[in-house]
Amino acid sequence: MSPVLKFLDRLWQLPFLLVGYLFTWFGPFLRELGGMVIFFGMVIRSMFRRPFEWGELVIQLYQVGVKSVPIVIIAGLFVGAIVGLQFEYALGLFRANQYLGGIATSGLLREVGPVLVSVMVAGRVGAYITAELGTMKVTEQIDAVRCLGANPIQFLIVPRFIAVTVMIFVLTILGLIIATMGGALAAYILADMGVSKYFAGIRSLDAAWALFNGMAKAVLFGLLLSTISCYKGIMTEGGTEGVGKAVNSCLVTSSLAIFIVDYIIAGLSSLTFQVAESLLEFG
Amino acid sequence: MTAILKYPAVRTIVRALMQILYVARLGLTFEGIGNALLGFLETMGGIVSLLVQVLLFIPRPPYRFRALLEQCVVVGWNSIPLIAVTLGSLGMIVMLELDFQMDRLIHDIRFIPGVAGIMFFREFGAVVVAAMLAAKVGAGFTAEIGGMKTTDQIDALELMGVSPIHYLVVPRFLACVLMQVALSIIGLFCAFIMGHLASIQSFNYKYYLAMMNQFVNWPDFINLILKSLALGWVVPVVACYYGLKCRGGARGVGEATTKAVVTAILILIIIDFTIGVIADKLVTAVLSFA
Repeated sequence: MSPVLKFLDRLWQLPFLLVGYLFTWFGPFLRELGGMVIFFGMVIRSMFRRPFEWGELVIQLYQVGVKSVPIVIIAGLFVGAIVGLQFEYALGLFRANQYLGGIATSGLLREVGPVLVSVMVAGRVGAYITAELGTMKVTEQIDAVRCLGANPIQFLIVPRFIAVTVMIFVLTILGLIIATMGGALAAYILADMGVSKYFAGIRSLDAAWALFNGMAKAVLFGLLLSTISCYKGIMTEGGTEGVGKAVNSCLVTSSLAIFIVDYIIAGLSSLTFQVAESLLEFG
Repeated sequence: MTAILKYPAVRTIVRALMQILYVARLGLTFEGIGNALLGFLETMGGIVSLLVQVLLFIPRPPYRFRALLEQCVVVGWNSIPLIAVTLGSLGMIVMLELDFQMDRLIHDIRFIPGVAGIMFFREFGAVVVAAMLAAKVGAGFTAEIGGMKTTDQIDALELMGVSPIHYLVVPRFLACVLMQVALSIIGLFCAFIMGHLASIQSFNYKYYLAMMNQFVNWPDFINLILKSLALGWVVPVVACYYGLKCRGGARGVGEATTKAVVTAILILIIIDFTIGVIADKLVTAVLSFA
């Protein structure tokens, strides 16, 4: 066989190799996804079992919520200011400056606020929960709980799950308020635009819809983050290095999930808004 | 009132609340505030001194090119799927949202590609890539170096007369700064393509490119590269600082990883804001002067 023919033969195999490569990545992905769904079902089912850990839940709410407040305030203020600045520059290029308040606020409420709060809380809390559960797993404390006849999912994971889901919602409200104020502050200080003019640019229907959108995103992101961080924590294996790897993969998975779900919801919401608006106009 | 307290659930809640009040009280005393301030200053000082040490160690021989290349593969090549997916969906989100907003608020969708281009070049290209690197690479660095620290491998390096900063931190630092620039450009490309695909019904590619050309220019591209150079040092230095400082087994490594990621993202946001303000002020000052 001549080398040219050999090369052509290899070339013919190339698409199949690529598809095979895709499937090597696809199998573990599907396994992980299925594991997460089963885990989510187990958590929901053991949420209604009888001795509910109220004290643990309150402590986790404090650990997750109150301790993340400074981070959310700092990040929200600066990101609101950044969004205000960049939109001011972009809108200034075609002299649409009077719409700055509406566009920046709507963008903050719909997109930037929920995603930012979720990413920050994923870094702070998701990693904390994964590290704690992972440490318990590699030091065999979870097996000890099971040996004592208790259900580790009910005693350890349900309080953390509820705490993360509730607190992301609450922290998103706080972050949205702070970010809107940061945008107005940046427009006032750096762009010489009055606060009343900034807020006058917001259309009421848009703002209400944007707020609803952001809150729906916050609930979904909270469910995603709590599932991913608890799952990654309890599936940790392999000593000290394993804990670090679990935290790393928790962060990567949750940021990927946040961005992809965000795109899906953005697409759905722009469709549903048209439906809602047409209903309001004709009804 | 006292009848409620008989329920065990209420009693546990009250007990936990009292515990939390006890813990929270510590944070509000003068001593607590001073301790928090001292901890903040210590962290900032440690990060800056590690950065200075790394910069001083860079020109010194032995140059470890093989370690640098290995770290480049870990930081750059392994992060390409994450960056491509994240920035690609970000590009689609930006186009969708801008389409929606401009249509409702300004009733004019002609300038959408231009505004999206400004967003990609000036903001997302550098900052989102840096934040994703903090989550993917920074956490990995802290876990790796923290694992070495807790198993006394760092002390073993020092005993052999090799500086751990020169051996471990310098290749990671250089790889992160170089790959940050490369990944910013790759991510920008993904966002550009996916943004076009998301808006292909409204704008054909000629119009898309023409609008981009009208709004975005070479200064914006140079801005992107300078910004990614200015943000690139944060992730490796913060991650290696927390990795070298961590102690206390598996639990310590997990806590160090959490702190590293959060601190890195906060520093990134603050630096980005400062650069935005200063760059705009500088440009306006130069324009008014000229």
